[in-house]
Amino acid sequence: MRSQSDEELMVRFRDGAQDAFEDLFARHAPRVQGFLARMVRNGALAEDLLQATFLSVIRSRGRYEPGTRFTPWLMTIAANAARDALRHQRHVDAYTSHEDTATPAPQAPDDSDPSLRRHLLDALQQLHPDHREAVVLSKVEGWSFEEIGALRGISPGAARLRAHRGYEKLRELLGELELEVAR
Amino acid sequence: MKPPMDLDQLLTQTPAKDNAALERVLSAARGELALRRPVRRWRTQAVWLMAASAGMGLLAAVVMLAVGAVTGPLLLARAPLLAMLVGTSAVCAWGALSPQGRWMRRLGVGLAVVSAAALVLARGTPHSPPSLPGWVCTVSHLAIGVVPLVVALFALRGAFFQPLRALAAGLSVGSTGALLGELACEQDWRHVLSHHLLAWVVITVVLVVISKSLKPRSYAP
Repeated sequence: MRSQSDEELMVRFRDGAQDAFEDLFARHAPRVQGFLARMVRNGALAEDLLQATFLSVIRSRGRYEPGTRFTPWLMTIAANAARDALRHQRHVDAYTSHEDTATPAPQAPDDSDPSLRRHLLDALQQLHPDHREAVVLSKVEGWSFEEIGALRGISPGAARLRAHRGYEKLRELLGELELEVAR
Repeated sequence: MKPPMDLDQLLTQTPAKDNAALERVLSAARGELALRRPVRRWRTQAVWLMAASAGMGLLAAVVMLAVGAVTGPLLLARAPLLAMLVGTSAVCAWGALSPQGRWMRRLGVGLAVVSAAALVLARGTPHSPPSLPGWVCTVSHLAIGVVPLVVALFALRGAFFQPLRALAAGLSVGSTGALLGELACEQDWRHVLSHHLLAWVVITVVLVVISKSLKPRSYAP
C-alpha cells in the first residue's frame, strides 16, 4: 500500500484523524530536534522548543492550508519558536548583565558529542541569531534564499547576505580552533 | 598532514538523537490531543473578526436610526464612505489572520490610509456648533472597538506574532470606530483628524502592544 504523503497526513489530522499526528511526529520529530539543537545550545530549552513546535502543530492545525508543503511549514514553526526563545534569552541576559557583572558559568560540555561537533555547536551560538538561522536553514535544511526571505519578510538577497555572513563567521571561529589545536 | 575541516559536512552531521526527550514531547502532545479542543480554522476566525467590526457598526446604525439620531437620507449619502470602511476592515481582518497573506496585509494597510484620507477630505463644514466636547468622539471610537479588539487578540494568539499582521488587525478593529464617527459626528475635518484618526491610531497601537506582549498559544505562520 502506498504510504501517505506528509501533506495528506496533515490534512487528515486537520480533519480529525489523530493517528495522522503520530505518523507525522515519528517522521519529523528527530529532524526538528536536530534543527533546534543547532539553534539553541541548551538541551532543556531545545526540548521545550520541540514541545512548543508540536503543540503549535496541534493547536494551529486549522491554519494549515492544503497544498502547503508540510516540512517547510513545520520548520517555520520551529524557527519561530527558536527565534522567540532567543529573543527572550537576550532580554534576560541583558537584564542579568546589569544585575550581576560576574562572568556566567560555562555550559557543561555534552560528553556524547565528538569534540569537533561540540565546537561547531558552540561556534553556532556565537553567531547572531538571524545569521545562525539563515546558515542552518540554507546549509542543513536545504532551504532556498527565497524561502528564508519569505519566512522573515526580507528579500532573498538579504537572506543570502545573512547566511554568507554567518558562514564566514563560523569558518573564522572554527579556523581559530584549528590553529589552537595545531599549536 | 591533517586534511582541512569540511564545514558543510560538519554542519550536516546529524546530532545525537535524544529518544527520551522525543518520548516526553510525544507524551505532552498526546495530552494536548486528549483535551479534544475544537479545530479553529483561520477563515472562520477572520469571518468572526469581520462580523465583530461590521456588526458593531451595524448595531450603532440601527440604534441611531431608531432614536432618530440619523436619518435614512443621511445614511445613504454616507453609504460610499461606510462601504469603504467596511471593505477596509474586511481586507485588514482577512490579511491579518491569513497564514500567507503578506500582500493582503499590505493592501489592507494601504486601504486604511486611503480610507483615513477620504474621511478627512470628504468632511464638509458643520452647519451648527458642536453640542458635545471633542473627546466624547475619541472615547466613543475607542469604546466601540473593544469587542472587535478582544476577538482580534484571541484570534492572533493562534499565530506567531508579526508586526504587519498585528497592524492589519489593529486597523480592522479601529475601522469600527471610524464607522461610528461617520454615522454620528458632524464636525469638520480638523476634528476628524485630531479626534477620530487619533483614536484609530491609538486602538491600533494598543492591539499591537498587547498582541506582542501576550504569550502565543502557537508559533504557526
